[in-house]
Amino acid sequence: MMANLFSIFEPSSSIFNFSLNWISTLLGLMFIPYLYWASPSRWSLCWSEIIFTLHKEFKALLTPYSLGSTLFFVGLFSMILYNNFLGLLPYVFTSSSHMAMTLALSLPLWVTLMLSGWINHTQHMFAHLVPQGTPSILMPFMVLIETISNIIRPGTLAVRLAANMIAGHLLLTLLGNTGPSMSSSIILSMLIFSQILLLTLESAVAIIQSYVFAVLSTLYTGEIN
Amino acid sequence: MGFGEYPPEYNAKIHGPYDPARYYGKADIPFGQVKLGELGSWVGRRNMSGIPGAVSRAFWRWNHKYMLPKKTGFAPFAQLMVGCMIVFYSINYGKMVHHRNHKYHW
Repeated sequence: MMANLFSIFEPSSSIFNFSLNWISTLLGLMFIPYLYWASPSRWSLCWSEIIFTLHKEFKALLTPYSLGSTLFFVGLFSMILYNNFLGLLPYVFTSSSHMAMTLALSLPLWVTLMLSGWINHTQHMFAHLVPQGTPSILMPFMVLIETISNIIRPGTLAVRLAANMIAGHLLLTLLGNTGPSMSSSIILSMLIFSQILLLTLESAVAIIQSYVFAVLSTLYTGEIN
Repeated sequence: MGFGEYPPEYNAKIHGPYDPARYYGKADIPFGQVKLGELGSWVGRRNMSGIPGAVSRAFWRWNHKYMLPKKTGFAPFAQLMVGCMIVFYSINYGKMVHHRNHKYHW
């Protein structure tokens, strides 16, 4: 039974209450093109274009020591992109709206970066706590602020993605649920029009949020060297 | 036939390069041409352990037709999206079927 407004975010399916809905996380794999023939297909070229643009963007942000990790961040981007985008389709589950998934992405990443940074480049990490050009009086406060901002990074990465997805879906659901009981057709057409606009916005947000997640992860990686 | 191996009937010298969409076993009457009386024997001749191979060949046939040609359109993505929607609708059907009896819809 739909007990509350957030029932669309429940991963339990109706088949013996197994959480089958989580397979939407891996469905994006089906959309990525294969290269079977020597000359690539149109979608293959399109996808390669997107991936190479991202690779160039991330290459500019990463230091020479960690250039190989653009592969990881581009993969992260595409996974989150497909998850966000497929979640906009009717009846399809949005797995990136769950903190379970977004934290599972951001927390291991951040912990790895912190551990490798503090163990291998301790001096460098301490130096990063004070930005360039800080007046001497402000330094203790800057260290405190930078430490706190460092600690909340996995939280912000995870919550930003999950909250954006939930907010968009919630708005669409709320608008949609007033539709059936509407008697005036003018207001109904306005409602449908605003839903179409919201859907366009949500598609853009889906792409942007995945990009933001990947870029911020790249920046955090570039900082430890 | 193990996972990732060629089918036992495939012979590189006879068949040429391997095509994952082609069935290399003994040719049988296509389903559209089977007479009604022969239906039982036709079903009996089916190889139930070859279902993963059949799924794989169907997947590659779909790819060859829709995704891999040089000038594709939007059709394969539309088919994939509709397929996703159908799968998730069927998974969640039991939860949704009660909505028509509810007064308040959340």
